[in-house]
Amino acid sequence: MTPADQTRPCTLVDARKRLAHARAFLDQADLAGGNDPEPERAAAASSAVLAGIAAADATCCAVLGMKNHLDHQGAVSLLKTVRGANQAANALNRLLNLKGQVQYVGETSAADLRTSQRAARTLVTFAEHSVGQ
Amino acid sequence: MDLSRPYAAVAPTVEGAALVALAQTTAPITGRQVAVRAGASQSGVQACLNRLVEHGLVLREGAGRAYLYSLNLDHLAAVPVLRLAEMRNLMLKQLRETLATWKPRPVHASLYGSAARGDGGTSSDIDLFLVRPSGVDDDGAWADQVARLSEAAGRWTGNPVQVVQLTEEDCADLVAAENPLIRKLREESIDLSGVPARRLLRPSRRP
Repeated sequence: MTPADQTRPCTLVDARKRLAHARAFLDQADLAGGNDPEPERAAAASSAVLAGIAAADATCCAVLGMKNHLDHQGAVSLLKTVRGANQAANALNRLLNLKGQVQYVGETSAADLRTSQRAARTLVTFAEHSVGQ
Repeated sequence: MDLSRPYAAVAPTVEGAALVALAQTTAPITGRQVAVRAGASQSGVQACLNRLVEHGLVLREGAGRAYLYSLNLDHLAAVPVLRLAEMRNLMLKQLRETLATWKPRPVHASLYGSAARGDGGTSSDIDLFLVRPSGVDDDGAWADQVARLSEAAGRWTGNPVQVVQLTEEDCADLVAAENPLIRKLREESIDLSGVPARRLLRPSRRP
């Protein structure tokens, strides 16, 4: 279990708000493609990471009534406790592994962008199914 | 069905809410957490958990001074409980499967409104948004499949079905005009078929 002090209680209202954030970030993430210049790919992949984190929050708030608020790996662990969320948790893990490279190393390949967009879509779709279940 | 608590059609009492809360997580949780997730009083949930433990459907384990509860997946009743917890997803699956058989296929189909948000009641509409391909009339085969889907979704859920359908051209015009329906669809729709809403309804890039 995720240690209790790494989580904060949240509600369905919070879940809906985070899902709205996730969708807005995903819209931004989809604005760039593999042929765009690297800075645009990096910005889009960053938005995909934010979309994934927001979607994971939305799912956890809707189903578990709590979300992780400290480290990212804690967010993956918490998401895994939602039944059926293994694929979504793996997608979140992929996004978090890309986060450092995209935001700090400064080299986002076309493949990185595609991976991040796909992972973000997986998480947003799962959140859409979880919120209001 | 109650779109905010679909399981309530079969299990309207606190037992239903508690079992669905347990079905949605793989981690053992405290009685207090079950009560929060079930939206019920802690004393009511505790009595219900005691009864469910007695029936073997819920497992209880000690954790310090507290007890943790989980759904017993080996219990014969666990499968129907898991199905009850998945009723909304089952509705989405059936809508998608039906739309996948359509000829002509929709350019886009999505669910929006309270059914998408999960905050409706037993009389709330199932709101469907359809975009018809260019050159396809809104009568004949297209109209027949819309009518069949509406009727079927009404039978699956017991809720009235409302369909908003546009041509591709009308949809593009509404997107360009930033129509309130388009904004609503962007915020809450769940894709069922065709081009995803976030691509179809994407606002034009500002110069």
